[in-house]
Amino acid sequence: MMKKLICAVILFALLMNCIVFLPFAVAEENVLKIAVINQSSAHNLPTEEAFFKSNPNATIEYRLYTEEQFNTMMLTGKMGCDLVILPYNYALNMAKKGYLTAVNQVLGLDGYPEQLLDVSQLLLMEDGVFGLPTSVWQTCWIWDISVGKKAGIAMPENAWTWEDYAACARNFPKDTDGDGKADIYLMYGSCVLACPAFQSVNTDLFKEYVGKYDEFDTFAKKYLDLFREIIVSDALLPMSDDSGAEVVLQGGYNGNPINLIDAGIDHSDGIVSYIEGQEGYRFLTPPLMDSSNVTYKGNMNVCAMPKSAANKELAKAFLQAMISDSALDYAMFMEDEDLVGKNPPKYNYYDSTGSFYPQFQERNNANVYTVSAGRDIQVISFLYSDEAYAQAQDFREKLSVDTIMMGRDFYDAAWNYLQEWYLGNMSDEELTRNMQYLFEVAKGVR
Amino acid sequence: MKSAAPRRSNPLIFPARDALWLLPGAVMFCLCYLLPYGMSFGSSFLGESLASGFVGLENYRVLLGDSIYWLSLKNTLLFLALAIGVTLLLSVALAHVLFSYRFLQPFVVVLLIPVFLPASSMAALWCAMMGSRSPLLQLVSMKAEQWKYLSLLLLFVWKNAGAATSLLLVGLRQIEPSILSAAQIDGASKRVLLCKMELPLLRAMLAFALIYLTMNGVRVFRESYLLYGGYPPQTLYFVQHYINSYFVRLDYGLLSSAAVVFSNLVLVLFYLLWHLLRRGEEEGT
Repeated sequence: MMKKLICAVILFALLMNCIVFLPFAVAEENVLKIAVINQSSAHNLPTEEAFFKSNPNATIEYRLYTEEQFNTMMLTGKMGCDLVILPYNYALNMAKKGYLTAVNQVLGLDGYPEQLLDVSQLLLMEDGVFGLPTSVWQTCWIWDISVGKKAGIAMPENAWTWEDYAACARNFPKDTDGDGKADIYLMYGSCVLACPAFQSVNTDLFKEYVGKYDEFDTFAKKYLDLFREIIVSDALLPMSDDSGAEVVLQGGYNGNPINLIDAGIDHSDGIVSYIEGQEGYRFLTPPLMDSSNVTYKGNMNVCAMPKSAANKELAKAFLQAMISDSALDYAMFMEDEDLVGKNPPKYNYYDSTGSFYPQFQERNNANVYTVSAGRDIQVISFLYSDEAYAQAQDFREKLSVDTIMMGRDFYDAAWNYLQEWYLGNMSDEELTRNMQYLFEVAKGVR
Repeated sequence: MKSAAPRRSNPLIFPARDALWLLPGAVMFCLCYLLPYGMSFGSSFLGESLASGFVGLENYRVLLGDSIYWLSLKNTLLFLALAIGVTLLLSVALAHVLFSYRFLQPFVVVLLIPVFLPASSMAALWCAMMGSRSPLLQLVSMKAEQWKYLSLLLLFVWKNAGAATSLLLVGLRQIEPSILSAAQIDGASKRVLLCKMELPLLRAMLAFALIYLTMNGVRVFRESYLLYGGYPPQTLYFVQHYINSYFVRLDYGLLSSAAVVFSNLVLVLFYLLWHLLRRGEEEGT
């Protein structure tokens, strides 16, 4: 009797385990499920509000996954979402592997929507447009004209190269008051270990390389000497912390005037607006590897529709909302910005307390953030001038982004090697060999 | 009169009527191991995109032509050999010391502590102790890559030496004391005692320790990943890094073929170890 009872208990436990794995993929009619792998990707106030205008009874459910969870879902064929909002290289990878539907076909368009920032060269594949941009981020540099004049150095042309940058750096630092101490620098951050901004510039060199060369040797022969000169240049001002661009713009760094400042051009810190409002500052692009190919590195998030989407109608409505006037007329600021319209928005969603920033909560073993119609969001006029917006969008359209699935680990590893090399613990040959290995691993065999 | 044929020994060590008790375990084994293995094996014949379907041996062709896969395989096997060798030698020495000085034996519990520590907290501890800013690194003149290799090796030894020592200590205790006493009376030196008596008698336990260390050696990727991420130094790029990189790229065909090749290699390795264990047991009896 006891044996039978134990057998029954074990079998019941087994059965319960099996039940857990059964798919309960019942499509909920009025719920649009969007998968994201970072919290800020779920911050899409203008599109959401435009979506709710045509679907007032619908609910948007963002589901936050780790990259591993997300890949596992695809591996097991249990995506369970109607749309995805992902970094560009993730979406591109999904498109290449055949997981995505061409959104232009869903929307009944011939090609890329013309009302959006033209980054179509990145989003077109054989089947059509595989996704629409939700946010774009790039780095811009800022030139202080008055400091440049004081130093007697003309502002470099836009679309300058790293060779131009190195040539410019050779003029710094300057002692303008004749006290024997340098008082004008080209840029902050002479100690690479203490300068995150310049670190990212350095890795940009390698990011740029990834798309252009097949072997690290080619890059090494051409750039290592130049790179070493740039990194050890006295033109860079030592810094001890990571001051924001605006702080440096207003007061120099530790009282030292400097010429160049590295800043994000995602509008969040108002840099474009600030320099437009200040006579003494001009926007300058980061240096290029090749002046005949003007592209600037950055990041982009993409909204795409998986082929397995259960609720295709709501997914289509969300995509329609993304390119609608009622979405593009509004801007939103906080971490990820959705200024992806070609023309400047008219209004600004103003959320001073962050009440409408995504707050995920655990529900049924998933991190979920739900949005419904009826939110009362404060609206103000759009902050920036048409000219500033156009200038920024012109720059942003020359976007180049990582196409390889490298991840943060790649840059950490690359930077570790560069540090060892810079500190003299690694020879040029060793650096070349190690970087070659990193790139081979990152690119993969196919 | 015909002589009776020798009875073949029953390969099962339990009565047939109790086989039913193994059913839940067998079912779970099939569900959790055989089925995923079969699925992976099937996936290894599928192309990199959803549309490409069956591609035959293409993934294996690509895999075996990839220098990075061979690098990862070489690194994995080298690290396994080195880590297991060092740990086993240390464990034999420790077990011998503990066996000789019985008052030290309670300290074996201390050696077992790392086994129970979660990998993530161990990695954090190791980063603090052996990271790039470690005072230890300042003391030794070593390149970063070599230091990272040594660091992972020491982590493996620290984590596994305790358990291997305990196993060997149990083995030493099982040796009949009179055998060793007789050898000592006959004038056998300590070295002869160790090499000619204790180690041969410990063969079964050594093989078992070897299996235990190999199991953990194959899984050392977890610690390596926690310490150095997906792009470790070139000498620490293991097969699992390779598999993980294709998981991120959604290339399940190549991922599966890499996993199938490696798992078969591990199966062969374990078969050989199992064979060694059985031989040790037979000779022990």
